[in-house]
Amino acid sequence: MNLQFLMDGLVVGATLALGATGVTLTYANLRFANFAHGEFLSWGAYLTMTLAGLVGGLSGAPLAAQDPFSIGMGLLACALLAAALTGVLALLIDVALFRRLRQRGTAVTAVMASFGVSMALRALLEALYSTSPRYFSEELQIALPLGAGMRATPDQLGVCAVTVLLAAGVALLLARTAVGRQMRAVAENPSLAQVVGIDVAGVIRTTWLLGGALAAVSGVALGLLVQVRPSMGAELLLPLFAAAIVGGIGSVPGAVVGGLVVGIAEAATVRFIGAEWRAAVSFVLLIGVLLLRPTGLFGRRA
Amino acid sequence: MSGSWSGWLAYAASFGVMALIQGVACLGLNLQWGQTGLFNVGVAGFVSVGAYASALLTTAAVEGRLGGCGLPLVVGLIAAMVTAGLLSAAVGAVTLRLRSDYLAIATFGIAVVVDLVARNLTWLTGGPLGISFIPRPFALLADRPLAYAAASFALVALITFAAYTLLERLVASPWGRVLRAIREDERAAASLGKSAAAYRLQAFVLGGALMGLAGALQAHTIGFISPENFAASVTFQVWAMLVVGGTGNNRGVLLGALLVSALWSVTGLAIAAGFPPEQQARAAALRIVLIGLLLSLTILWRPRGLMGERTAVSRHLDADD
Amino acid sequence: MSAALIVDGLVAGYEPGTPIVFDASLRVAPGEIVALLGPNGAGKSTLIKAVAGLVPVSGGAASLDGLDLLCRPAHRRVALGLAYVPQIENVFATLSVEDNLALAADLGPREGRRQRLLAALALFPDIETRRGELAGRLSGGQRQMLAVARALLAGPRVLLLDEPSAGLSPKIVGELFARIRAIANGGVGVVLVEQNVRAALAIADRVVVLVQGRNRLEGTPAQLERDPALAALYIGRPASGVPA
Repeated sequence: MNLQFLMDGLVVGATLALGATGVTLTYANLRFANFAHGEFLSWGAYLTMTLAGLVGGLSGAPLAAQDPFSIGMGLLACALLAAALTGVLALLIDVALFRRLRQRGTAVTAVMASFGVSMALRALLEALYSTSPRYFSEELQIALPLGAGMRATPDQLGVCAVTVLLAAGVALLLARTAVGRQMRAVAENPSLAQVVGIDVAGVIRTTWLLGGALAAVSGVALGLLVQVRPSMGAELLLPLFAAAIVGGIGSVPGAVVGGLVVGIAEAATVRFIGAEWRAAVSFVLLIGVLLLRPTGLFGRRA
Repeated sequence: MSGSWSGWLAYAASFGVMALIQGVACLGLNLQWGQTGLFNVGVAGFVSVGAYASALLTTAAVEGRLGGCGLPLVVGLIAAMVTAGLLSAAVGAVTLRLRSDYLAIATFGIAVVVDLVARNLTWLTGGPLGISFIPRPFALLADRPLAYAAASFALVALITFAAYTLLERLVASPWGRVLRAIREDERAAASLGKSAAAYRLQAFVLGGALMGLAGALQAHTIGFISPENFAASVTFQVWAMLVVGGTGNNRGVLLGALLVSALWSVTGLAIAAGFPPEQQARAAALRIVLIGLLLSLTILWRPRGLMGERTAVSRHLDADD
Repeated sequence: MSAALIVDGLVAGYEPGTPIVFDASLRVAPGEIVALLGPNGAGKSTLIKAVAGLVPVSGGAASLDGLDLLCRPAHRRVALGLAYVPQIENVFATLSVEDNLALAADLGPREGRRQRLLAALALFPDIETRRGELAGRLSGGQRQMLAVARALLAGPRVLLLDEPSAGLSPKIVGELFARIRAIANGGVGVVLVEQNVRAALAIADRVVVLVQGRNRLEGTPAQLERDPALAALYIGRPASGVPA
């Protein structure tokens, strides 16, 4: 049997994992499903592209690629800056909208507001950049043989490596640092966190910055491996939710594993059933988990 | 002069038809969210199922596609409600016991799956091209735009009024009071035990059936349907109508439907007049941004919408608290 | 003795316009244990929650060492030296015992953080042996001790305890109250909200009785034990463990 679909699934799963990590953190700490999270992926990709265009325009030459990858350090630097900007965008939306709804105690309304925000953010990208797809690089990559009949391009392997590094970093941050402990405490009981002396509003700011930045990196990875389109994030929203819920809300390792599960299930569906049904995979997984184990694989909270 | 007058009247009537059709879907959403607190982010999916069900049963037979039974319009409308209601029952049975935001994610997923089915099961749905030649009730008047628009408007207005009256009676009935009690007080809901789940499911199914009815009306008004007609922006518009008009108030819902449709049409006209053709697709996206802003600002500054719920009840309790 | 915590004519309640505490006053000096007693629904818990910053205040004043509390959010009050231990859900069940304490230790200066954490653990041998476990696995008494240890790590001037004895066996209550006495003797002012009147009177220096959100009686335990008014309030004394 050709195992290439496993490799494809791993690569898709890697791009999902970071986005799902952001979903799981914001969901756990803010206690609402943010339907605008997918748009942070798109905005991260478009901001990176715009920054790269600006830098290229100012320096007079497009950003150089770093062999064997199709992009270079210049674009990575732009992606980092774009990730920070996306985090700030998430924070601004929270200050303008979600925080006020939280203070009013109407978190369910925040879900609907996030749905409105997601439509508006996507439409704004369409208005600014049009719906035609764009690419970070025109370069065609040769897939390297990896054994067992599997192949992957250098870019794909690079995305997997970045995901592993970043996810491990976030997991360590949560497990070992003061900020991480505070985030876990706020996720469990915000009111107790306050009286323990934790600045809950500050922790929530950190959560948005981190979640937005991770989403942006995920969006750049997706843009690099596939293409950049205004609807790219919205189309990933269901897979991201599925990955976060399969893994268990609040668990970073869970989000990574959930991302891989969704990615491999999608790739298997494409291989054995048909590419047109790929988008249904997340829904099936989601319903399965909600029915059988609503806390997910790594979830502790009921 | 009289020619342009009748032109404007025909335009106004066909605008009214589309606004009321979305109003019917919005009445269904109001029953689910406004009365019962059930969060449905997949409105477009339920509307779509209704549209396809009615189209399949009422169109003439076509080579390579199922359906084409050529049944009368009224059978199509009933079938649309039954099909969308059955889908709601299936979704509701699985997800209504979960946290409210899981219901939101699940209904969002249902809309994605319905869209996939519409695009890919060509033998059933016609695929990306959709279904055309759906019978229109007043096709005989097609060469007289004003009469056609007026007749369509009268029919849709009658159906909307019937739906409105039915819902108002239900809301005032003991059944409606139980729904609000469940929405307002989790403990009351718990003390009702299994029957609370049954009440929730009934409201979800009836709301879904109304969305299906709206889909069928849309199919028979335009005469063709394709997956593009049921994009996520439909869900978004119906929600905007509910929030702007006033959650929990059926008259507010209809007012919201008119206002949001009017905003949509006026901005559409302005874009057609003000932007060169190659820029129009991008400018059209700004309409969604505008409605998104309207939705957010209403939630922030006028959470009860223009016409809040009439019966004095406390605001929605947060399900997490 | 000058008071560290001063609460004057406080009005507080969860919903605007429907106060639960109407006019409550409290003075707590360093090293003093003030028992806050009263029948169910008197507003005892609401009063200390309002002082801690969890319940909206609509009138009156509260200060710690002369600094206004009411203008500061809850977490800043902790930094001023006000520690509050809720009656239920007073530990983070999904965090380890050590992480629960680290949350409080992190807020102090970096220097000596580890020492403070270990010192707090050493006060409570029962939980010291279970430092790596999830706090959710502790018994009720151990949770209460962990919550008090965490509150102490913040280096409080005044400690607010909401029914610490609720649901605990008499033996554990004895141990816990002995610790509370030791903490007060170290110079910390303690406000003890209690349904367990006997245990509270045994360790309190002063008693304030709240009825329907207002101060009703005040005095030393010896004075109040003889006061028929207190006895009248507690005829058919309610079982402990019900939040007031």
